[in-house]
Amino acid sequence: MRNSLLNAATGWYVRRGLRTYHRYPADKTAVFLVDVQRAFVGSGQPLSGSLAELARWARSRGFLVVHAPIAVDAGAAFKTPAHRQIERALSTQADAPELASALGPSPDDVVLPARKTLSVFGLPEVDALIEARGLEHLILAGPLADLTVDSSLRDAAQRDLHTTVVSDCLAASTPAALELEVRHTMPRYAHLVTELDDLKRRIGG
Amino acid sequence: MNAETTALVLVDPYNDFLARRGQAWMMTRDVVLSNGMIDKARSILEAARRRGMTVAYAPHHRWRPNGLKGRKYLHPTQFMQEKSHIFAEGKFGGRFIAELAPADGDVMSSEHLCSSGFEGTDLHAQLLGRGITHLVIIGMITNSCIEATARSAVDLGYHVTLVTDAVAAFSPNEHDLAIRETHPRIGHVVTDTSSLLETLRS
Repeated sequence: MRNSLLNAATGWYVRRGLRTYHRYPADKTAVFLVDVQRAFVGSGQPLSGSLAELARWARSRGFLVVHAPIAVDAGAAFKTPAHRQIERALSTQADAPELASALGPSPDDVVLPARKTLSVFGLPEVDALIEARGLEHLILAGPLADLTVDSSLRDAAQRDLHTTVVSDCLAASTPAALELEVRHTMPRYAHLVTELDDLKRRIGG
Repeated sequence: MNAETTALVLVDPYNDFLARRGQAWMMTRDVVLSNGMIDKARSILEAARRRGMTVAYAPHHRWRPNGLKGRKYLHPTQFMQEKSHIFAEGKFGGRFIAELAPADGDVMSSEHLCSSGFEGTDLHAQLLGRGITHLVIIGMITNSCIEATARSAVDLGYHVTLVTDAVAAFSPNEHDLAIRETHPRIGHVVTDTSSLLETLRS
């Protein structure tokens, strides 16, 4: 009980202190769709609709939409259960590694090469893109919150980027893993963890 | 476990987390005490030294005046550090707890600014220089710097062992969830101190 109260009080204080960061200029903001591939996002799933809505809204606001897919690392010396979980999903059918159909990239989107690391920052192209475009605000979403979105978020925070996680555009290995991420872990590193409707309300549109 | 290629990495064993006068003790003590975390981490540290393993320290950024100057978007943990001065350089809270203190010859990484002991530090270069391929990661905090250090290590190609009772978190719920949900997915091996000590003795 004491820990919960202290955590809640600290969280409130931090959220209040970070409010001034929550500005999203179109030319400095990107939505990173992490691993939104057929292997992880079925076309009929609610998550597919939420992610598609996030992408539509982002494009309408003039935000860059970045697709960051993952691939199997066949040459990895040491594979974790996370790697095997991802590998299994990617090998279920021939088109499993492709981007989810509902999210199909628009002409102005950036599609990164498939990476082999948990964090999107394992790919040097990501730092190059951020520098070239002058990006400062990253909005993160994806179906592997506990595996790849978490790692990417921490690396983004390390790079002094303003980070937002869209909680209803996430999924995880289990409901408990998602709860841990959204309620406890991500709020320690993300400047804002919120639902898409709240983000729209804050930014407009 | 090959002592020549395995390093024990201690993350943030600061007084502010682990000592009764520490600034965050009110939040960490439930898990630290129920796990017996300090004694267990010490027993692993002593066993690693006896085996001749590399011992590496991965310390969090110590608070100092203007230490985060130039950062445009302090993340929540940094924001709180600026307010609370946790891990203050040269003060009690910014020193390692005596039970887990470094010894001559240990690797001392540069400080990490966010949560991973590898990001923006010289830890990887120092471990590479010693031919290390396997890591045992212990210390603080279960779902924060421990997990982040493990995540980076995995992406860098290390084999990672995590130890359920030689780490602790800000609440029992967070600790239990991380041990049950995240560590078994991102670590190659998840074990407890007793089993790890048996492995180190064999």
